[in-house]
Amino acid sequence: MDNNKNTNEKNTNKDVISNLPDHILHEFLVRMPLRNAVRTSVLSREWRDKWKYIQELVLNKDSGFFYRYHDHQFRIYQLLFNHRAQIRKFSLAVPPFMRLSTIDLLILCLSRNHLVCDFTLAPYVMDNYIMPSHFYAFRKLAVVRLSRCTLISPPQFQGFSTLVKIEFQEVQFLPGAFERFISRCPCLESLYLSSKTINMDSLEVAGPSLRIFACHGFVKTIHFKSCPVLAQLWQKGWDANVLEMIQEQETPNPYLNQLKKIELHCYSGTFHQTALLKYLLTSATGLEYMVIVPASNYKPSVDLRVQTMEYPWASPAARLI
Amino acid sequence: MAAETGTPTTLTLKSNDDELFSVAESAAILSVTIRNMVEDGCAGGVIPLDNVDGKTLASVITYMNGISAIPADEEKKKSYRDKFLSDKDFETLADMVLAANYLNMSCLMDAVSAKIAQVMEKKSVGWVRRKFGIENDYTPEEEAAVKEEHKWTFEGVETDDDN
Repeated sequence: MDNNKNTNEKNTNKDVISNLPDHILHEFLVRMPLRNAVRTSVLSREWRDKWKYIQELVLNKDSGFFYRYHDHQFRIYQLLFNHRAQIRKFSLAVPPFMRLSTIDLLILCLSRNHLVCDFTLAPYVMDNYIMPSHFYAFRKLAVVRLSRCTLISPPQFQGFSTLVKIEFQEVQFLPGAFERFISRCPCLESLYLSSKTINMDSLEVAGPSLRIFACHGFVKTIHFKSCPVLAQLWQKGWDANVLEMIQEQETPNPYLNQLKKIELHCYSGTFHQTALLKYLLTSATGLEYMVIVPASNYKPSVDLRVQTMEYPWASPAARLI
Repeated sequence: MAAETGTPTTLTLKSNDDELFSVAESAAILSVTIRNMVEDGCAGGVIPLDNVDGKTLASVITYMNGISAIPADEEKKKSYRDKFLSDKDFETLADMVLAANYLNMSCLMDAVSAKIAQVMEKKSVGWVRRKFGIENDYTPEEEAAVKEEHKWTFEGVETDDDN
């Protein structure tokens, strides 16, 4: 009897978690897969609506949302109708067989009713998804990660004035559209581009706040235009023989004098790569680290390190790693 | 328990149960709340922390010292955090998350929240209720209705009901 009473008392006293302030409970809920966060609604009446106020929705296989392939459309709408807070972070990895019109509608809903800062969209592999115009109305966007889609910005697109980070994977643009797009993102600090399939003839990199530029894939020419604070540069080629980066601009390029760290991957000593290397070394007067990762099949006739050290280095303090 | 206040790099923190702690300023300013006080010049004497008890503050200071002794190496910091939190029970974690919130220490807040989320996510509803002492005030019908509404969250779930 006594024992029983004790346990009961202990139990009611011990409910530390439900008494925590809601904003702290949300910290827990956003750190678990969405499935588990939603499941807390079964705990008690008090918990029934707690998940509805989290500001981050991550819909992918890991979050348990697409565990079985049935009626994703219905579940997504149900989720959005139930959910009550402003969504600040939204991430969707589209499963096979989901209608693209559902994504359109979702983006419309997010642009109308929410202030999304962090947006991730990965359509299913086989789709060629054209981002709907409502995407360009995400006024508070700070971080965007897109895969396998095409961006055609509407003429009235004013830019993302708060965007600081872009990660594009297999994202297509019409010629010249990429440059127009990033020129309207004045706060952009990090730009990651990667593609295994899209061949780009030339790419202009510019941005008053751009600090990190990483490029994986086939770009023939990269022009560094006005990027006064660029500090890190990564270049990775999927296939070193296809990759060619040529610089046809004035040497040394004044926009590269803040560059502190350069990584060149899959280096195989082709004419263009060597030209790029020399060009970067001549331009980067503030360079601190240079990392060259040779392609696995590259057997240089002269030691790569010795050879690289013989090129003219503009920065006296730089180290080759 | 009286602490040195002489050297400029050491701060004295006072818990809400009047325990005094000395801590290097460089470690203490991991807390934005304390950093602001230091910057405003209010950290000369004893800094009272009205929302943190001595036991929790001792833990937080251990963490401050431990993490600030590690140079900028995210891997090592992460393994320190994991080790630091591994032996803490839930009540201690809840006290720490409140302290981290009050002290505005985002790295501790992140680590403790992630730990609590990790504990909760692998367990069944029943386990979480028992472990955290959450009283189930649903009628069986209501509970069934909520479960039905979020049926997908129970699909393919293997929960671990141990301890």
